[in-house]
Amino acid sequence: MNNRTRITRLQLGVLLIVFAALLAGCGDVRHGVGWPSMSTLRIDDTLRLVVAHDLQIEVIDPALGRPVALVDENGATLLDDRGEARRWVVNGSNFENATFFTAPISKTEDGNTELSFLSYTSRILTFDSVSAQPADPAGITLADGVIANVVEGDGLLYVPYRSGDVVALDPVTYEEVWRLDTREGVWSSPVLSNGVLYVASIDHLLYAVDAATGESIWANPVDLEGAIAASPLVTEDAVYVGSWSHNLYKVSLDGEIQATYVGRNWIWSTPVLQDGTLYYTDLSGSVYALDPETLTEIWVQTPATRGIRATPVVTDTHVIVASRNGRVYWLSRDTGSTLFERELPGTHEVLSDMLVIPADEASGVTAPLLVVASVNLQNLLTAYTLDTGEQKWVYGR
Amino acid sequence: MWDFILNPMVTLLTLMYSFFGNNVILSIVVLTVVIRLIMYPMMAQQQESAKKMQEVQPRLKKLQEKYKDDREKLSQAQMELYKEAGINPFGGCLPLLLQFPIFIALYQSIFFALASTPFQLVDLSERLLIPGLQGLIPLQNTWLGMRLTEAPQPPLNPPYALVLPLLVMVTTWIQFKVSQSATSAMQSGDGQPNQAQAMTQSMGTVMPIMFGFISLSLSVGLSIYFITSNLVGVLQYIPAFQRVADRVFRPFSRKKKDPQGSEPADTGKQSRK
Repeated sequence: MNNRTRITRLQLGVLLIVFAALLAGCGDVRHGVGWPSMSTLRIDDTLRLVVAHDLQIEVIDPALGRPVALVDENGATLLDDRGEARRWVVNGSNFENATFFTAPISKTEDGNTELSFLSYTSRILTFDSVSAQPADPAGITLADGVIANVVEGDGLLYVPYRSGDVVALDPVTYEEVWRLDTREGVWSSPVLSNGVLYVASIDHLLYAVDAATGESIWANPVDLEGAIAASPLVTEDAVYVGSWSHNLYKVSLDGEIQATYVGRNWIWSTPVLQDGTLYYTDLSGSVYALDPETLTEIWVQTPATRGIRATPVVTDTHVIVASRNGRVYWLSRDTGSTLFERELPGTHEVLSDMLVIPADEASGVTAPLLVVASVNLQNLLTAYTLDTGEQKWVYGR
Repeated sequence: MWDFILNPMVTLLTLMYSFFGNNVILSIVVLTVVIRLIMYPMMAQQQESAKKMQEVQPRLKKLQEKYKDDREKLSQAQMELYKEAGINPFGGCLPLLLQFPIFIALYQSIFFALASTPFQLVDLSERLLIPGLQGLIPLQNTWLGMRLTEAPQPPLNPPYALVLPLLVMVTTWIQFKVSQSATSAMQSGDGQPNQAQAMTQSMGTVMPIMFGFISLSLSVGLSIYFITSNLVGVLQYIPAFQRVADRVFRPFSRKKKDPQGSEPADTGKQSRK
């Protein structure tokens, strides 16, 4: 081998090593934005499950666990080039790589229902609920992207922007009616209660504004010492909200912190109040049951070995939580002890809030279902019976 | 796999952010400088090893000629030569191998600390080792109108952010130039250019371009890291800096006897130019 060849091979070797090192540097860093969003709605009086994640939206039949077949105006199934039924799937790559992480806004007019999705890429895209056809492929441009569900109420749409601010839009023209300035993004849905809009931001502040005008109700927003990435729970007399400071707060409707409970890790779920007990989860893998008046601890359990980002589902008998370790736990409401657990197919982490689908005979759902979304596309959704945890179906892209 | 290095690095970066009044850029710059300085003894050892290897190249070539048909004798003779010259054959690559994981962890820590999406932030939650740091999250990620977590190209950032990949290219090139002249090779006896020198010369063209293109795709924060790292790299070849750094970081480097039998020379203080 002559010198020149040896030099060239050495150069390539060094370049490969440097390139591999740079790749290794990127290897553990997760790319992508967020996790799937699930919601239910009725289309032609039939219950449907809508899942939006990244470049794709599907409308799923909750009884069968697969996308709904598209039909024409006569009810005949539409077929694709291969003779297979066309399904209710929208791909954002057909719309300038629009990505979706939120539930749609549903509008029904003259018997036709349209679903409008606000994208992370700052657009509103509207589709016919039956044919999945876009109303306008270009969509409507927004001032910013959206990663949390929009709230409808009092004749306005309240849109939380991912980089900051909440805007109230006219639901017909989508023109801005008022804007609440925040210093950082709003990654959770605002909560509308008695004409007041409560907004939690990752700028560490909890805001309360008049839903009609956007004027502040409180003299100052409440500083919760850590980013707030989940919607607050608003009751008749208080607001319960957790932040990344590890603390759960009880805030009066006047904006005063009345009680604080110190947890173990970042709180990224919305508390749930049921039968006089407040339940919440955090990223230590713990589940807490507190007295809502004083935030005194009733019990704390740590069923999971990794964090629990999702809001717990509380039924008459169970507290159900899903963890980043790919497992779903059914806990006793009285003691928090694990009654049984299920491992998701592929054991992929769960970051999305779970969805409860009520029994609906007409839609083919014979028993209430718990649908859990993972971050793995091959096992995107898994449905269990709500009370017994029997796996009913798995949907993957 | 990298967590045992990466998590402390992410924690340290976040701690510095707090110490420097929530200034991300200063935190990245200072952490990079600190890590490069801590790695200095290894880098200096690597340079010394490389220089010694170059000094014995003519003798090595003669041995290769002499024993070209006998690999075993060649290997034995080479080891004897290394021993006589005080060369550790792994002295060059072992420090490099030790430095690599540290620099990758530093580079990754910037990725993680500048988390700006829900996915990235939920991952960051598992990496902060000191309680209380979560109050700083999310880190301020804008600087001079640029978003530090986005690539330095429109429309993600203003057009002037493109200066940063350019600076990455330029500083990478300068570092190569400086390191090349510092380890300028002796020509072998037959007048042909030394192999290492030839390789370094063409790498000095390819690497800056490669790093420039890579930094176009990575975040602005990482461009700052590359620029800082390159500038510290240049500094490490300046004799005045080497003298100070050797006194601080290598105070116990071994004295070596002068081959003429005169007073022993302190190799740690000699210029590596």
